[in-house]
Amino acid sequence: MIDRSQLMRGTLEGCILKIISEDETYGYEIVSKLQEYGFYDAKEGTIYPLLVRLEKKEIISSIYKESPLGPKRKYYFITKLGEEYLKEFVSVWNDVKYSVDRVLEGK
Amino acid sequence: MFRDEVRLLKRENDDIARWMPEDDEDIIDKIIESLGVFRVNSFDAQVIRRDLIGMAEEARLRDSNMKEVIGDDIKLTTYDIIKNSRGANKHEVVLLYLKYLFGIAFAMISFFGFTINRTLMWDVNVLGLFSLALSATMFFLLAKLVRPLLNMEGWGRFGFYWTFFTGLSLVNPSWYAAVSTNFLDNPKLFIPGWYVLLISGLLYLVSDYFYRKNINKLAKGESDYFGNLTDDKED
Repeated sequence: MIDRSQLMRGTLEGCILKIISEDETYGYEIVSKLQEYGFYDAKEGTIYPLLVRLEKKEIISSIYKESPLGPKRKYYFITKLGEEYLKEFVSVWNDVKYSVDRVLEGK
Repeated sequence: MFRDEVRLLKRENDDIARWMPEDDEDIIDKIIESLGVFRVNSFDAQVIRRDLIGMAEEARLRDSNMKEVIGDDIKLTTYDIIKNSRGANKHEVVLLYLKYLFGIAFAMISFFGFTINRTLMWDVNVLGLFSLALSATMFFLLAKLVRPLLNMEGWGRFGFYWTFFTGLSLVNPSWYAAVSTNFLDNPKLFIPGWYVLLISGLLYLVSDYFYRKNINKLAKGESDYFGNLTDDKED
């Protein structure tokens, strides 16, 4: 059987970055949006290490802010470097998608 | 003096974590205690702990819990966090080791020196000091390297007791050797106890100063997490 989560893992980073690029957001909101888009297995525990990694590479940054629910919440936002990284991801992904589609369609 | 960002963040985390359900706290403790200073620096470990506590808080408000947030494989999540973090800081590891070394030397020699010899004017055996240093090194490696690995493998509290008593069994004969005047009765092998106490105490303070300075450097350039978290309290 194909390990779906393993297959998704590589692309999840770019998808998370795209969501963060739209507006500053927090962990659970990112997970909810990923699930809406079809990443049903996504959990905060899955995406948190990726957020740590993106922050380490200075692709995103974060700040604790008040939340309407009560406790302070960590909000993530994209950096200048992140915007460049996202453009690169979209370009590479389109190339990979094109190649994989061609292989699967036998063209 | 430098403010110790790790200690401040830890205190803040401890305050917030008080309300947490035991199961959530166990999961967070398991992850944090598996990181260890050899794999993730202390500042990042406290930031990660704060993030996990935040996740638990949010989960509770949704009538959920950390098990649902993290999933069944805590070990995999811990491994992923370690792999994706900034990693260990070699200066921190060295300075923490020196703190252990001089701290244990000072504490052991002063406490047992006073209780066994009952005077400030006792002599310390040099070979015993080397033995004590070796034991302190083993204790440091057990506590900071072996224990996090055992914790990640699910040893939990048993791992703590194993590490503690193994460390104690190593240190125990050493302090006795260090302070005992009966150990190898060669006058050349003995130096005044107060001299060792003074040097180890001073070196402990120096290593603590540089340790704090290094932590401050690690925190520099990162988001001011402690400042963010305590804004309300300062207002």
